[in-house]
Amino acid sequence: MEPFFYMLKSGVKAGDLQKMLGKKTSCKVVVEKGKKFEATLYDSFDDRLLKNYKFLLETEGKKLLLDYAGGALEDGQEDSPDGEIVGELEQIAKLRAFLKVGDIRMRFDRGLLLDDEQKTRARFRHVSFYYKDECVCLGVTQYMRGYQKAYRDLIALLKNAGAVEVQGLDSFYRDLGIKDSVYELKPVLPLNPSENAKNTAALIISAFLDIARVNEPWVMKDCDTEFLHDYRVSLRKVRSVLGLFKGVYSKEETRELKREFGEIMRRTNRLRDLDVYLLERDNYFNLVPDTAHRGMDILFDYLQQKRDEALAEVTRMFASKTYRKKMNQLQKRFSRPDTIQAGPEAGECSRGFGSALILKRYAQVCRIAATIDDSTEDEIVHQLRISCKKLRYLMEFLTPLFPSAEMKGLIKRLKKLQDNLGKFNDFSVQQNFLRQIVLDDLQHFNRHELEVTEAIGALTAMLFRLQQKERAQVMKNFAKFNSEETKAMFTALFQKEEGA
Amino acid sequence: MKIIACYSNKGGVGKTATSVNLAYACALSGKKTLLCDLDPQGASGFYFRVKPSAKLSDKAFFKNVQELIRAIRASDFDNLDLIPANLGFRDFDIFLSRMKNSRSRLKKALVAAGNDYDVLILDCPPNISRLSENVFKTADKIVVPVIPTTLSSRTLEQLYDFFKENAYQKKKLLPFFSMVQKSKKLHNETMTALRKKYKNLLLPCVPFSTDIERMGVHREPVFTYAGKGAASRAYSELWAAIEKRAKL
Repeated sequence: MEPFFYMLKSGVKAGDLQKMLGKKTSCKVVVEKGKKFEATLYDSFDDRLLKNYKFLLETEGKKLLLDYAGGALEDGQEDSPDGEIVGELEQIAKLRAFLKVGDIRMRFDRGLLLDDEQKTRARFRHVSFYYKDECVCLGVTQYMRGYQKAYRDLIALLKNAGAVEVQGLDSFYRDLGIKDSVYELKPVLPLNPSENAKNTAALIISAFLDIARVNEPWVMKDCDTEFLHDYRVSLRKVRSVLGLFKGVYSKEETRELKREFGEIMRRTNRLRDLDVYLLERDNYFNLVPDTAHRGMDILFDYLQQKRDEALAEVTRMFASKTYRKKMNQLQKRFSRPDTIQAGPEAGECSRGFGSALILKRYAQVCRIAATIDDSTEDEIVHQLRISCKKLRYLMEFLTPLFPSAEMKGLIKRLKKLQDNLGKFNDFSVQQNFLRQIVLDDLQHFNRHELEVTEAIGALTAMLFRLQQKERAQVMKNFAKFNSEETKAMFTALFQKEEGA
Repeated sequence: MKIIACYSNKGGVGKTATSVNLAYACALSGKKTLLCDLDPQGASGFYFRVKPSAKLSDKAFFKNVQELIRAIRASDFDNLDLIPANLGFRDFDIFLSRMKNSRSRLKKALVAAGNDYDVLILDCPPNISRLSENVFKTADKIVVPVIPTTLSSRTLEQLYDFFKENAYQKKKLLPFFSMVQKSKKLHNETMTALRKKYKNLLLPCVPFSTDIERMGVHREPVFTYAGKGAASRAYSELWAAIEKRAKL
């Protein structure tokens, strides 16, 4: 029998459960209360641990990773070795920092349902989290073989006491009063199919502008590199909406807005490029022969130094009055779309307008892909990548307007192709980046120019080979994506809506 | 799955205490363990506070695997489950004697019901009967508690003779000394004599201990309330020796 994972918005008292059990039964509920202790709770900014039903705690200098889904809600667990915890955390969120969520108090309790001979017939255990005046209790039951009825009775009893089956822990921090909102990089927006295209575009842009801005203080604190990444992804999406929803705003307005956002993003390019390089450090070292490692060390020390400078520059920008004023202004404008000059398509109904855009972009993807064979120039492959990305963004933005399962299915198919194209592009960008260092920065490697050039040469050669490998996969992956089934799905989902 | 029986053709030698504590030690070592009480008195179940399985008749035990599986009860300890006995089990012999292949019926039933488990421990009733013959055939090893007295020595001899006469594998028998009182001269002399005679005798001995007698009061394996006592130590050592012999 399956364990029952439950949440209670208060503690559980054995006496109350016993009363609910009634007088007719000879069974007894026993709750062995643990000792309340203080702990600091950690999670990534986007609550990855919580989404994975895990809690990272530090108490009395010990770190503890509780796995709620695995039913591990035990007191007195040994301090897990740091290496083990780090390994688990890396699997959940490799690039994210684990930040303090709050100081809480906790208690582990164990409960038993005993029969008249004091034999345990069912078990439950839970952990109570206390924050200020709030208490949330997470528990799980344990079936004991041969005692089905007692198990069912226990679940009914807990439900009577207010236990609710846990479907997800998204609201946990909010319920505990420890955090107001949940950060989502890809929120499901409340779009209305019959709303006009201009307002829908503004709603999407507004949402992504807000997400970008949430990340600013964390980029400045330099907690992890994902904050800048999320910031840029959000702004890229804003620019994409401006470009993709053609005719929704006036030409001049669109051009000016794209320029403004483009300028802001451009000022973070260098930092992101360097982040990517430094994150790949270990992989790069593995790619080149040992003899190139000395040169790689010097190169990476240099890149780290450049990264510190780039971060200082981005921090200065975020902190500047001009930037803050500009961003506030943009946020304000998109929250009141009437302040933006309308274009000829502004009044189109969102769903029909969206369908036409998706179909058009899909046709473009197919057209480019049809021209690609093994000898096609890389430039065309890049065009395919950009086109696919735009198609993906469009579909993601407009998901709420169409049947969710079908949209998710199509996006998933597209994603596989995009991963391939994305890697192809990354390897190309990385080679260019290295080439630029040889061209512009060699004088900084005083007396080590040769070692660094050799390292860059070795790395470039490997990156080129990896890029070729990805290139060789493109046609195969496109064929996989563009099956008859995919075509039929695109037509069925969007054709009937076109012009609706 | 290995089947270890705890058997003696003499009563009152500590069979049930041995079954219960060995099952606990086995479960503690991480093996999924099923203790099957074949003694209609149901003492093993009593020690684990598990009520007799009223519904499980002799017919169901040997003929209805699903019923037998349904009779399995979790103990209060990890990895340790039980099939409790009931008074109906006293008719096992009559029932078995009426069945075809009556010496391999137990194996068939246990293999079908116990395949979730690493080790099955059988607590057997004290007689030589059709059921015991099933045990002799089914078990991989048969642990035999022997009190180092004249009468017990005689019973052990009878058991070896029976094995020989009926061509059962003698190497399955793993006798050990139970309820040993080292202060008694007779115990020491008997132990020396029997060790010479039976090379298969396990080295660890279980002492006569009030801790073991108190199992009836605590209704738990001796490990849980006298974990550091001599009795618990002895059962741990005994289990380690059995594990080695049974290649567990």
